[in-house]
Amino acid sequence: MASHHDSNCYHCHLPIPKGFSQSLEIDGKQQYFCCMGCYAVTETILNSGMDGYYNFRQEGAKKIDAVDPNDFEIYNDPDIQAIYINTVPSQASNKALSSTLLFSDYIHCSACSWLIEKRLQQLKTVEKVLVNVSEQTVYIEWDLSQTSLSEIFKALLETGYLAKPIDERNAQESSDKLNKTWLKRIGLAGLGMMQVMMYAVALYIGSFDNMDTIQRDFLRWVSFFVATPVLFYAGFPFFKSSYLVIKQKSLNMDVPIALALILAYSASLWGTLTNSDEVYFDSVTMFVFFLLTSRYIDHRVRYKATHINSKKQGVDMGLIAYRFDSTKAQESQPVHAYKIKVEDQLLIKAGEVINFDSIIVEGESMIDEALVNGEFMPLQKKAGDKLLAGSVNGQGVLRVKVLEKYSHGYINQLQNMQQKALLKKPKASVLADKIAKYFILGILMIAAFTYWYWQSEDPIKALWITVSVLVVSCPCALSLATPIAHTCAVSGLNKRSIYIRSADFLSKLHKVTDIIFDKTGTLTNGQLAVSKVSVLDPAYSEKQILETIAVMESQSSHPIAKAFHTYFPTQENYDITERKEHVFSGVSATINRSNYSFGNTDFISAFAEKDLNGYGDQLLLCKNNTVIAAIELQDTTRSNAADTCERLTQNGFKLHILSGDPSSQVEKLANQLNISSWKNNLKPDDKLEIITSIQKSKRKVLMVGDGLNDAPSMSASDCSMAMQGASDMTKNSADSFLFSGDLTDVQTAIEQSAKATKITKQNLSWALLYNLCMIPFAFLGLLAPYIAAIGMSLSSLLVVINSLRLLKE
Amino acid sequence: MEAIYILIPISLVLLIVAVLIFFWAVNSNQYSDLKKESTQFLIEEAEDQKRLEDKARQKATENKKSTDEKAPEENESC
Repeated sequence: MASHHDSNCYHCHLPIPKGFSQSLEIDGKQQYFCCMGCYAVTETILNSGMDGYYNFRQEGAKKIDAVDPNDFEIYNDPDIQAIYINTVPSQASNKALSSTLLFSDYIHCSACSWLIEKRLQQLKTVEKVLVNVSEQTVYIEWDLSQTSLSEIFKALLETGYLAKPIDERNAQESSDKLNKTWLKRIGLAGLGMMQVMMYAVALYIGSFDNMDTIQRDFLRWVSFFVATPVLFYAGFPFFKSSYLVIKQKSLNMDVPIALALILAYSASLWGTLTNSDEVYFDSVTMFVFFLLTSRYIDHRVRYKATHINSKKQGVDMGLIAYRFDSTKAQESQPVHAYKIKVEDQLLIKAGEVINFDSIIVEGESMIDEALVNGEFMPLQKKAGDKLLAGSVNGQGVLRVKVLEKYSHGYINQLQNMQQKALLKKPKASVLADKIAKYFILGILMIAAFTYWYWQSEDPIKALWITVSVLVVSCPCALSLATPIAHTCAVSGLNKRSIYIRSADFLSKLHKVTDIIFDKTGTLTNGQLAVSKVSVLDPAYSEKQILETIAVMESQSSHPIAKAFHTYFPTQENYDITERKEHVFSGVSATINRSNYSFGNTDFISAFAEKDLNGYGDQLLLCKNNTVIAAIELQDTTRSNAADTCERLTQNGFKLHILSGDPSSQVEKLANQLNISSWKNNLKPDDKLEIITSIQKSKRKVLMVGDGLNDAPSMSASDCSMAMQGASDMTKNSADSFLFSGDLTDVQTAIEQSAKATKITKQNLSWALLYNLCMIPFAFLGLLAPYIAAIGMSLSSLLVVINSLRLLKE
Repeated sequence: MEAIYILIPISLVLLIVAVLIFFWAVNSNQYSDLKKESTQFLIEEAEDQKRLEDKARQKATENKKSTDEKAPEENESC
């Protein structure tokens, strides 16, 4: 199973960087690694005899980020442990054990689970380890006094799993327990349904063959015995939901369902007791089973979209802060983010996510605020400048003073704004629920009329015909019509990695008239790339120029440097010495005994003899004292952005670009994509305002974005989509995510929404038509009840088959 | 047709047993991680295989050792 190319790392299957050579002999073959981290993990795994992992895993491991194992000490703080650790009784001895639930998105197959279980069981006093691969969680029971929580994290890290504890205080109900109850209900309903259907077939045939009454009654009582637990245990959610909605003096689709179930059940019981013509226990069980199944699928799909995301928050050690003990101290200690107070001084390492609104005390660096406000180019910040939580530190090391506590500050403001926007949003009522209100009133009135009419005509028949009317008008197909179509549409989209979080997203999406795109990370990849190379010295080719810069920038992870990494030469004829990075300006080096410098015009003007006016924001390469090339960089547009925009415009949507980026890139992009309505340099509340003003002119808005600054606008829009790579808060405020990162999926989702609405309407009209046509026959006492029951099943089946059309891609 | 008065109650008992087994399976986490269980048996099988091989090898070396030990004894007895 472990098939990988020789030039790729044995552990994580990523390419091995040039010049790195670290290998181990495994099963008589020399295997190479991409970094010391992977090497160390593999060595640990092999030395503890757990090499089976490599034979059974289904994909390469996720490359582990450089983490200092001592950082885990923060979890040994008693205050912090109180959040994550529970006490459970031990099964082996009478001592109390500690239990905790960890999350790691490095877990991806059963080989991982095997490896983790083996490794943790080697620790002292660990009694129980349960790994859940689908949920990516590890549950552990152990004696805290013998093994500290940080030792568990370290053991996991050594085998290549970076984990974080899950704070379960906010979880409303354990999803595990909920899921089990669902499965038990469906299982019972399914088994019960099959039994009752079997007896029903015997009863149908018996009614033609003049089955003797003792046999008939026996079969009816048996059906009653099986249908009772199905109705009251499996069908409980419908009764609960109707009770809750009636208590609020309203009606939803569950009310007619519950009523139909209770009526069909009581009528059947009455029929059994009074030896009347028909019983409907089979319809009751079938009804419960099909409805439960469609609800369960719906529940799972939404669960996957929401919960996995919320667990991932802060998984990359985001909860660790490095605090200086005093304002004068030079040494910092790792501390849990929850313990940081205002005025504390923190160390921000290079490349770290900044978790606190803070002010720089010492140091300077380039700060990437792309996720916070859509600004694409990193900003130069020095002592005295403010930092926003959610931005990413560049190369420099900073000492900062905290201005707001964790989970306060800028992110919190955005959250408040988002909450307010959400409250203002008009709630779309579900079509079926609207129909349900009138429908159920109608049914009740017709039933009452029937009873009243037959009471005066033929009092003996009155009750029986009333029940017939109620069964015929049973909204089985009607109540299946919407959920089944919705479930099929959602699974159809899931196949294309489009996940739906909000229930009414699909019913609203096709009504959209305006589509608003964010720029950075949505229409563009959020990565710089070389867009134009002007060679000024004919002695050089474009390839040579790019290779030279690539060699100079090879050690840097600055976004500008990254644009050149793909051009790194394959042959090693560049002899580079005295490489030096100049913060905010460029890089210089000696290659093959010539001095090269590369950077912005300010930086190069110190070396070049020529006048540099007219190069604007281009980057220049200078050899000794002559400028030999000018290079223009641009954020790369997503591959199918142009196609998508063109198709959406053709289909009559009005497109807008709203970006927080102040640069002229927004205009360039808008021209490139033929989008006439664009605005740059927008704050989150500006975006919000623009959206509300569009909505005021009776237009419906779809917002597509990824940044934290898009979160409030997403809540205000009628529908919203978050791109792959969006920040957690954005994902939590969007109605749907495009995990594929493919912009054409916007179009796909809109088409699917239109199709789903069409099919829902067909389903509803069929169900209504069927019920309305049959009621007069039942009213006149002309309809044999078993025909009504068969008709009801066929009608439901038709609705299901029609909805299955939505599963096609 | 009298058979149904015995056979149907038996089938009902079996149905109750089936439901109880299903509930037990759900409660003991048999359905909570289908992704893991789908390949788990491969690893377990290989583990057992390895353990058997190890045991066989150990036995072989033990046997060898014991014969090696025996051999000189025999020589001495001669």
